[in-house]
Amino acid sequence: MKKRIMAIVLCVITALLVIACGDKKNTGPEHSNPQVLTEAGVYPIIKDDYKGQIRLKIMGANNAAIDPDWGDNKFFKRMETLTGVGFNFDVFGDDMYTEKKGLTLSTNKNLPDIFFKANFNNYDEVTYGGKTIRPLNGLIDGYAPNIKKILDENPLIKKCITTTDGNIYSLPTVYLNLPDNTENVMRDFLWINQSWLTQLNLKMPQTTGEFLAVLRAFKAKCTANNAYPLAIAGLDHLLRIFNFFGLDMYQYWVQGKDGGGIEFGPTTDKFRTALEFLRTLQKEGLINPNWSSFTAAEMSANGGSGDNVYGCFMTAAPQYVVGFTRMTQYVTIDPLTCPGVNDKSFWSAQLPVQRGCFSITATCKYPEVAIRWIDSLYDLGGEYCLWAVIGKQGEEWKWNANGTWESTVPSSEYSAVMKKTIIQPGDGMPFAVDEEFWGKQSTPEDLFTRPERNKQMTHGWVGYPMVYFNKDDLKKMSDLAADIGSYITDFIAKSMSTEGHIGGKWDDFKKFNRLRLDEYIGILQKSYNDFYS
Amino acid sequence: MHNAVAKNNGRSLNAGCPHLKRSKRKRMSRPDKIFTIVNYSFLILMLGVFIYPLVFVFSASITKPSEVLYGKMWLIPTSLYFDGYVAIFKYKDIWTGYLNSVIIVVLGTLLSLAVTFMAGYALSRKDFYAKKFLMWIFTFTMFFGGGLIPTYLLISESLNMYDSVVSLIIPSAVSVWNIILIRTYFISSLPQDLLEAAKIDGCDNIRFFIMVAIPLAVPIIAVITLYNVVGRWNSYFDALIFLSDPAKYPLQLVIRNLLTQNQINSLDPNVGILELESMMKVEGMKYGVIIVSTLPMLVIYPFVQKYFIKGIMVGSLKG
Repeated sequence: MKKRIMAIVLCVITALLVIACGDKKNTGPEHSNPQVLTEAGVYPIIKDDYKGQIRLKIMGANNAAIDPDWGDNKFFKRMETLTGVGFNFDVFGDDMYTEKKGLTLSTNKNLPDIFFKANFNNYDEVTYGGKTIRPLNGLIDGYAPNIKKILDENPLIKKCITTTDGNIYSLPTVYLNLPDNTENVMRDFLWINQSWLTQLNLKMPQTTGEFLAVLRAFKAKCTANNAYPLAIAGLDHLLRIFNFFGLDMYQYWVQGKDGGGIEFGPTTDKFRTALEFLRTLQKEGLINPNWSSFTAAEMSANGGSGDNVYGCFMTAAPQYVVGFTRMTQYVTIDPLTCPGVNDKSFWSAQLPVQRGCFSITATCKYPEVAIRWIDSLYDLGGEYCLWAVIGKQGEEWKWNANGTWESTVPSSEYSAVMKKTIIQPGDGMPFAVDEEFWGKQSTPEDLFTRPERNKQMTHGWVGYPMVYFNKDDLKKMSDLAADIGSYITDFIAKSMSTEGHIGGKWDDFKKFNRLRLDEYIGILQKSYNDFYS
Repeated sequence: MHNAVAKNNGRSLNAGCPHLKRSKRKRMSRPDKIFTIVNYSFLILMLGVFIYPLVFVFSASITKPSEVLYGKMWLIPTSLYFDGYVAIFKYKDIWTGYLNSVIIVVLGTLLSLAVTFMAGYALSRKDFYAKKFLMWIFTFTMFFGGGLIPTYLLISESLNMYDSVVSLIIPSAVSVWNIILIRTYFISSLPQDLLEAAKIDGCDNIRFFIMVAIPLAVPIIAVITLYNVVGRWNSYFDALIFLSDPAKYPLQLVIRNLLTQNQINSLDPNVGILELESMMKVEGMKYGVIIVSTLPMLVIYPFVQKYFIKGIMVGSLKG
């Protein structure tokens, strides 16, 4: 008995020791940097002598369903063949990545060479920039002609990614060649059921009053129990309705005023009018009562269920909501106005940049190689920036004779093939998106939605720019913005669902000062001025 | 006469089975009746509360995801759909996760049992001098921890266990709470006389521990094993922090990664269809995955349940 137990204990301990000793890293030989690179614009970017000797460790966030295995992904393999740079991967799902990123940046342990799809925020960049994260300005000037060109031609983009100490610590997704030379992007628009409009003999609404009348008429069409005149998926969509009343609620609840300065939306009468409008929608059952928890997946499951269930909804493209067969019933509505309150027709939009997608760490031995490598994804003349999104020309897609392009992967296999070919580009891919190229797609659904989207893009307006806060301001802002934000969203939800008049509650609500609103607006005003100075 | 017979009949009936009559009368008394009704309705309600999620998850796992999503299905499957399970069986990571979890649970539990029992027994001995001091040190760790970042540094720098399964086994091997349970158990159930008798027969300490103390501790061993197995099976956070190679992830982390990263509400205009498809695929697997991952625990529970209750008693009465 004694021997047997001792034996078991010893076995366990030995097994653990064996596992513990299994993991040893090997690092390649070190070379002085620029010497390994070829001439600018030449591929591969590594001289033949050093081929196969340079590997970069990548850390990033993937999506288990779309790009499960980066090591086995054609994008990285093609990039390796093209550039001569190899990779090791430390890839995690979104949620896990956030933990890992924080731990590795703050402890300086297990740092990668580069962060790809980095999801860096203001905090990460001002806290670790210059410490664990390398400033990129010099590298861009010296080794990244494509990025340099984009930044030189688009000072606005450069401003968006330059932190308060004047350095650039991360590279963004940039959207270029936007329709009608707009300088903003947005994803979701308001789509309306054109066939219901025709059947009910209604004209396209232009004001909030007309819109309300249309929704009331749509109510008669909503006979199925899961049908709604207006379907809203989450707070972001609800806040777009405030646009009709002249408020951009996209960032920090503030927007620039004509003639300089910023305006805090929630204390204005416009906000109150908008709130009354939303209350009416909720009270009369014109929107889905579960709007705050309604997800895109639910909206899509419901929309594809067989019945004609939506009068209006918000999305980037209607096929995502009602499926391919019914998408053509829907058209976009231009942003509405509210006579007497707001006569400006706009959608809240963002500047054409998504920040924090790519960074190089201080421990990276080959920063020049890394920046040169990523620079190829910002080359609009080259094809490489498409490899991560739709694959390689001739293999996954082709040009048509009429100047359009189409995917050559059969739609039944599309997701299975793409899983091994592309990196989910939706969120935070470090590359340049050429909107002109996307405009030449020739699928029927794209030919249908693209003009609608382009039309709406021209209504985009950026109420508050993409600013960086410095360390001190950020510290204050993180408390202030959280308090003020939840105070406002609570009030919106509460006042939509409660009966009776809004009057007294509104006066109460406006007492923002106990939440240190002055300090909040002060910081936002300063950053706004700095951005546009 | 008729009356008398009837009375008599009644009496004799009562006399025949007095306990039946008494118990019947007792049950039927008004407050008892009310109590019974309230009691049973409450218990049925509680049963419903506990069983509903289980039934719902099971039904949802075999119903078309779109019907679950828009709330058509609420208890009984409205359609039959097994693609979710097919997808789960094809999803390689779930099965490597399963294997990893089993390895972690088995090795971790064995190690935990070994160290906690030795510590618990030693601390239960009256003749162990450093007892109070050591107990104080152990208890100290229950109130104060190093925090996340120091722990991360300790594991990855000082102990060099980063990205190794050992990091999920060794640092969590000692549970002070379990040591206290075991110590209490030994103090209360292992008579001092036994030790003295054994000593007189020439038994040394190790032999006494292995041949006398351990065999007498079977119920508490079962309880601690169960605590460990369930705890380790369900845990994911250590793995999230200390592992980086997906091939080493335990099941719970695989599942968590699968379920938490599909929360996109604003689809990309160019590739939204891929995002949507992946979301729907996950929706289809979601409930099946929950069934597959909880199945081992559901199977184990009925068999060790009686020990589990005993273990809770040890803690509550004598702790």
